[in-house]
Amino acid sequence: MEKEKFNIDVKELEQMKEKSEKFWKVINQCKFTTHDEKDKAASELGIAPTPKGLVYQEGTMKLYSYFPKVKPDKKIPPVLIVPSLINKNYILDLVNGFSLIEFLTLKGVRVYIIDWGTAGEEHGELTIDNYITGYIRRCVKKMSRHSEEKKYILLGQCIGGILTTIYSALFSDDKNLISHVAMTTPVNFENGGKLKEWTNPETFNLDKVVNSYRENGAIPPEILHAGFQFLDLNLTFTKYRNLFNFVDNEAFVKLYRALDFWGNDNIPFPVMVFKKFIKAFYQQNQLIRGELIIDDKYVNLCDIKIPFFNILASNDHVFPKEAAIEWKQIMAPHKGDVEKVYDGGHVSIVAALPVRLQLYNDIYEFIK
Amino acid sequence: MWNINMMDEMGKQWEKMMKQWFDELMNNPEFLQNVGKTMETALTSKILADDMKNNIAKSMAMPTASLVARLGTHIMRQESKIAELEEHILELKDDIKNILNAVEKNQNSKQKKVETPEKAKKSDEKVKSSKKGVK
Repeated sequence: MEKEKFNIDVKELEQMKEKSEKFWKVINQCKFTTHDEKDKAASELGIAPTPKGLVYQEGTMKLYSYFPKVKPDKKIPPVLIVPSLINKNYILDLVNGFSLIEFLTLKGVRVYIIDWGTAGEEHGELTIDNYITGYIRRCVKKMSRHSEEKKYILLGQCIGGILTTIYSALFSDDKNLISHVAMTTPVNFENGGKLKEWTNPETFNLDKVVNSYRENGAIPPEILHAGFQFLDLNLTFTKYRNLFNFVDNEAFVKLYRALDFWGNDNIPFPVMVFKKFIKAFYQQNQLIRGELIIDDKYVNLCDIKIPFFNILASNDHVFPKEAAIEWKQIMAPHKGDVEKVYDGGHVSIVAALPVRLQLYNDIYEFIK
Repeated sequence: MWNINMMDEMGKQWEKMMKQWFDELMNNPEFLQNVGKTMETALTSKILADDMKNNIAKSMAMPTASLVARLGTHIMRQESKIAELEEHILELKDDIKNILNAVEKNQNSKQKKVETPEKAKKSDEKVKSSKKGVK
């Protein structure tokens, strides 16, 4: 009897040892010391698979157009995707089968995306106003010229969603903007979660941070993302536990590596944009109060007259869904407005979980 | 008997405990205040180090980082202005094209109008001459 027990334990232990070795191998595969290693991993994982062409460039900012995979559906206006300012945009085109952009191009939607590039010293004076009434506005014009279509749809993700929301309010008289998709976009920062607590003016000296990075032009990603893994400690634990449990599943490991690759491929945040973002949104909640001024104009969310699709994640640890769910209370309802909560996290609803397919389909149904 | 699932259970308990402890820590204003102070001290050191670098660069008659940053900012501003102007010119070009098209369309329709009475006159004359022939 004793011997039998011992045998079972040894077998289990051996399996565990094997799993541990595989686990550490994957963890080490996610670490890069040179750019070559990083590029090699990106091509091995098939990151950002949808082919695209450059339409316009201004400084580090680039506007790309994705090559259609089927005959473009001219009934659907082109979609301009405005991504976050602190992450790379390929989270929306992560790998085959986990790409919103791939899905839309396969449906014949003409998709354009902004790549903000890497902010450097020269971005030190750039404000959020420059992004909205400058870059995005010009990209819209370039897109309509390139697509030979005046009508367009905006799709903003994360901070990009805040930019497109403000844009939609400021350019509400633009008849060519026909609808707006906001993905995990907060509007009421009173419910900003841990980030709101961490940026409390009593404990967080914003001016000191801004002044010390003014010369660098941008807040380094290491500073910004150092705290992100502590936003939801459970998520960090679950991430590693899932990897350990599913380390034998090749598809899972590939997706894990792709997500980890993106998660560690961050970009600096232009310092003056950071300042306004923290002060106007987190510390003063100006957007919802109608106190936000962009290019000498008050931003009034009630001015938005187009249908919008508000996408929320049930376990959003960056922008809690409570911060994004107040649209209905602020704006007058429009015909065709959609608000939907997807079961997942800030990133996983669009790039990992099976629910992503539902999300892709819902976006397509909304814009078509 | 020792079971491998026990380890998994222990892991989960540890995670739960850690999360609870961390949440308590994160909600502790004293802790956040101390983190803020530590960050301020680190940033003060950074400002001092940057100043020192700038002073060294100045004493060696070399351009400082802030000077290069200002130059970069200036270039970016000019680039944005050029982009705005380019867009404006393209819009004007479109407007001119539209005006020219409209003018051309207008001229064509006028020509048609001019042609039509002439044709009417000619056909009238033909009718008259044929009537004469009958007489």
